[in-house]
Amino acid sequence: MSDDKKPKAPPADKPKGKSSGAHAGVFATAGFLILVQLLAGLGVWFLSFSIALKSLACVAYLLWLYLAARWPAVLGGLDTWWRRLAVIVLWQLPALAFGAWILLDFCGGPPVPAAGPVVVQVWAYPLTWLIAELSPGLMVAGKALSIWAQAAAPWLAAIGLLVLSRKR
Amino acid sequence: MPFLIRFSAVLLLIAFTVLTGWAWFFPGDQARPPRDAGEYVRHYLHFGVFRGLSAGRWSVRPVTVDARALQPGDILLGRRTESVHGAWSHATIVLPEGRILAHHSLKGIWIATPAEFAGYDEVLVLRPKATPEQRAVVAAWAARLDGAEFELIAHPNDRRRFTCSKAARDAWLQVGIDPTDGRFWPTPDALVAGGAPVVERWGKP
Repeated sequence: MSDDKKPKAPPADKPKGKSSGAHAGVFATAGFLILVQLLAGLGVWFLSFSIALKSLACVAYLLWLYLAARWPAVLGGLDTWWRRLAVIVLWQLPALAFGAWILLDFCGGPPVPAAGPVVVQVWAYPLTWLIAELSPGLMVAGKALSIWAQAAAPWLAAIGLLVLSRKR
Repeated sequence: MPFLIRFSAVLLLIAFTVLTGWAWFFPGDQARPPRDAGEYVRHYLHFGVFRGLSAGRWSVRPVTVDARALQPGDILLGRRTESVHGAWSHATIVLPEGRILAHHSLKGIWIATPAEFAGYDEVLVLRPKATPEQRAVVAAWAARLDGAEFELIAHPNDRRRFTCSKAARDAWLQVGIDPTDGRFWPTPDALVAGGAPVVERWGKP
């Protein structure tokens, strides 16, 4: 955030390991991505009356995820992998935390509160509804496959985004 | 673009603060049924997030459901104290052969016996006015929800995902009867307020 106050150096002189001064920074980028994700979730939820429109919105959101990972103004503009990881973790934090808790619960760990699956579903709604749609009525170890998949999805998405946003 | 991103982050912070304040300073009573869509969301956030309530406290003197008193299509409602959902905490529908739909956020929806509708201080049986043929259609449709996803945030107009009350409401909508009072969220309280005749009431009034 404080990069704006620094004198702008020619691109060739930029120190390695830091993002360009034009980038908004880790926290602002994470906030922006959270806002987009929650608004997209609300939009997809309101399209629940039509599976076709809902699917279309989901495809658009997947495209957005790809663009966000590659776009220099968002994840693609962060030079180090740990800064990209920090943005992704902040962005998906509630889904990552409760997703892990659900998986721990399923594997014999501490029981997740009733609100756990709801948090994951709300936070990642643009994608979680599709996961549920693709696994109707299937059970694994006495739990719904859709909940297994929804709990694991934020972790897989975080890894995917980290890989996708790496510099080439 | 960086300005837009920073602006969005500030906007998120403001929206989060407003939402938190709106939910925190909720003047309502936990046991009073929330009436409109906004009040239900506020009620749910306040008691679910800030007060830590969930499906309600397991009754110390749970009511037993008498399966012989049930007919296909009947709506069962259960009341527990400290429920995040309002005055009534759970609802289900009676299927053919006296079975019911059971719901769990980690398991989904499946077919069970009435004995699984347990742990409530009070149980109410609603029987919407309909012909035996209509009741058979309702019960058969509800039985097809075996294996469907139980999703607390299901949109009221979503035909593919269900809450407990929405499953009962949607089953009755198959014969053109809305057992709720028509409010946005089809909650257990909405079913009670729908005015269907009460044919059984077990437990404390």
